[in-house]
Amino acid sequence: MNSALKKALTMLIGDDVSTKNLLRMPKNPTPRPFQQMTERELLTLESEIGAQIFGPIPVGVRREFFCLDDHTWIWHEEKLDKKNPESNTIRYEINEHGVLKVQEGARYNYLEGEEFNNFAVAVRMYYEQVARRVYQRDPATGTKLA
Amino acid sequence: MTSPLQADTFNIPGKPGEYFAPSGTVNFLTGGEQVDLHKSDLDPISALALEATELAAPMHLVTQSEKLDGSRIEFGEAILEAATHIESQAVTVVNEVAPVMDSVMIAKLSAIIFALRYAQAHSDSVESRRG
Repeated sequence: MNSALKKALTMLIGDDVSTKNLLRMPKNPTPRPFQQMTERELLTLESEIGAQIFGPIPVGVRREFFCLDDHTWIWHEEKLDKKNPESNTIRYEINEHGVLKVQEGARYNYLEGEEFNNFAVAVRMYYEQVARRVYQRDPATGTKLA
Repeated sequence: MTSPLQADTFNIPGKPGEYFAPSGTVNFLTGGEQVDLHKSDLDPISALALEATELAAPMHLVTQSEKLDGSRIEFGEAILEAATHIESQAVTVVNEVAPVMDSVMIAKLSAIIFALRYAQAHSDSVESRRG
């Protein structure tokens, strides 16, 4: 430790406390009393559940499915293969006309028929599971689960 | 596609009814400023709003259709804001032709998820403000 810093610390806390121990970072810090997850961290948790809705994720594949905000859903899947990378990202925008599917390459179309129904089921399953497992809420009533 | 399922067309295994309990009862208010929190059949957003209101203003009895004061119960209002934002959109969707109801349902569930996330991320700070 820099001698000037050590001297300053000694002046502040006295010489009966080990400055070495004082400055050591704990290996397993205890949780802060008001520690909370950020919206981004919650989103990550949601996405882990969302990705499982569509069945097992193949080895070497990363999948994300989550509700980004109150009118946007994201699907992302990519092969974790450095030699032959492939990825596919789809954005679903809910607007006054329905659900707009936005794909790479400026491809847009509104969901309809079976695809729309399947998306609706995916949203419901996501809501059901995320409400229970992430937010401990009864999805039917919104009340806190015991 | 690497998945055994056609992911981009959302083919879901199993029967939907086995997996979820759709609320189908979410009601949003047209004005976006008042909400009846004493209904016997509270929808999820109203239930959230009620809980948030009690968190932010303990011992405050919310009267029927009382106007929500943003400065006093900002937490509850923030949740309502997320809901009412979608509400205006949902009302527009109702006036459109098919697929009306399903779009509304998706919009409402999206709003609820968004509100739940907001509430969870900010609940501790509300608690700490209360001391």
